Amino acid sequence: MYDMIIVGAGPAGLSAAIYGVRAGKSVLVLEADSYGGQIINTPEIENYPAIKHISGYDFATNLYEQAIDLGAEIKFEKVLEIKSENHEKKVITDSNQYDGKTIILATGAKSRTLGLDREKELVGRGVSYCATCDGGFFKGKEVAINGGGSTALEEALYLSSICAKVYLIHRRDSFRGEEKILQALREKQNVEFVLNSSIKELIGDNKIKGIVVQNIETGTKITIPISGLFIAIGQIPENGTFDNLINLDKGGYISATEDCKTNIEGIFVAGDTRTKRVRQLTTAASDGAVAALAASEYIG
Amino acid sequence: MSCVASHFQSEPIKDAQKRCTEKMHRKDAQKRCTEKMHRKDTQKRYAEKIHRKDTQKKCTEMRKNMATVKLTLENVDKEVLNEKGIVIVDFWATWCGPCKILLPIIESLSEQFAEMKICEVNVDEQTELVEKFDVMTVPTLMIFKDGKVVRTSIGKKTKSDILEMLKNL
Repeated sequence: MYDMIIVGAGPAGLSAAIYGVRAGKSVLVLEADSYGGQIINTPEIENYPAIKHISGYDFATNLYEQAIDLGAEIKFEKVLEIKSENHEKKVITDSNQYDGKTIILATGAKSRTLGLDREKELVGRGVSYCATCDGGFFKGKEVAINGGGSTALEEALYLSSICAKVYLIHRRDSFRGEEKILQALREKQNVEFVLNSSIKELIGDNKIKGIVVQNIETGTKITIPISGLFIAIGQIPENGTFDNLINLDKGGYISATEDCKTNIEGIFVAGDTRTKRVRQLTTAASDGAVAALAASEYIG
Repeated sequence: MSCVASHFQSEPIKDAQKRCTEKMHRKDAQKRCTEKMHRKDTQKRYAEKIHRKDTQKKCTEMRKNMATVKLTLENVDKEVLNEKGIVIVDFWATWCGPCKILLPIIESLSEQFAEMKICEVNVDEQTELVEKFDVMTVPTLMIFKDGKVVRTSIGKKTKSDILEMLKNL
């Protein structure tokens, strides 16, 4: 029986593990993929207090080693189900079953997909969810970016500095992203705004060669030839596994306030997967601390 | 007053205070702390903001001792395209986190299958090879059999994913 079972070894889960073991609790962290979560993809972090510069990989590795050195146990198994019976929790993975006094769900979020045919098979063949990661492969080429938030605008600006042409495709005619970046984009000669439009089809067999875009108001479809499509339409959590037990909000995030307590006593939530406004490294770490201390208090 | 106050302090609190005072005054801790603050290399590193270069160097060093063949436009025919049997090619970049996650897996594969050739391509240095093989993301792993690409994987993978890719070749 573990005091705490943490699902997810990203910044929130590993921060929770650190606080858990330092509170004298036995802690098991379960991770389906590799440790680190989304931050692994960030080449350079410059907004984490007291760390001027660090790569996402180094940050994640430091955090992982810190949690292990302090005594947390980490197993790379995929969680299939959680159960709560009379103050005891069970976590069923693809290869084992674990009993815990508390559970902390820190399952994070991942990039939202368009949900188009063959989108999955074209990832890495011209379809990408990270312009700062893959943009360099499209130097001097024509690309499109889909989205209207700050990430989409920032990535469009980055792409416009290296690509021959950038089509910015957005389903509305106004943007949620920062006005300053938008202004900078409007001044770029090689950026073309395709507004009130959504992507309907991906063209190309082995790699992407173009997209079919439909104007939502007029219904008119046009084909735009491109060699790269960057999708920046936000993120989605993956909490389907828990919805029999845990209350989720409309977006699929786990409902909880800043106290990180879910509707089930003894089950807590931390990080991007929680209903919240700001999803940052700092808030993930903060949630980890809050959830682990709340779990410690619950155990008594 | 202080005597009265301390009189009411419980034993555990006194203990904790004592431990805390001891901790704060531990000479070695002080010394370490002072040394840390004045370490010239730390100051210099932050002053010059060369962390990126550090990261790159560290990454290159991580790979230095690997028994992989570094591919270039000059040796790719000999090492991969004219090679009989299975060759794995790992396309990576210094700034790519998932590539580093993949690194120990590649290392363990090269130990496990000593006879299998593993090559690597630094995508920032070998742009011609990136063009040649149409690589559009890192990490990309390509498995060649008798000089032809038979499997490609995109993104970070587990060891069992890669072992699965190597099956029935």
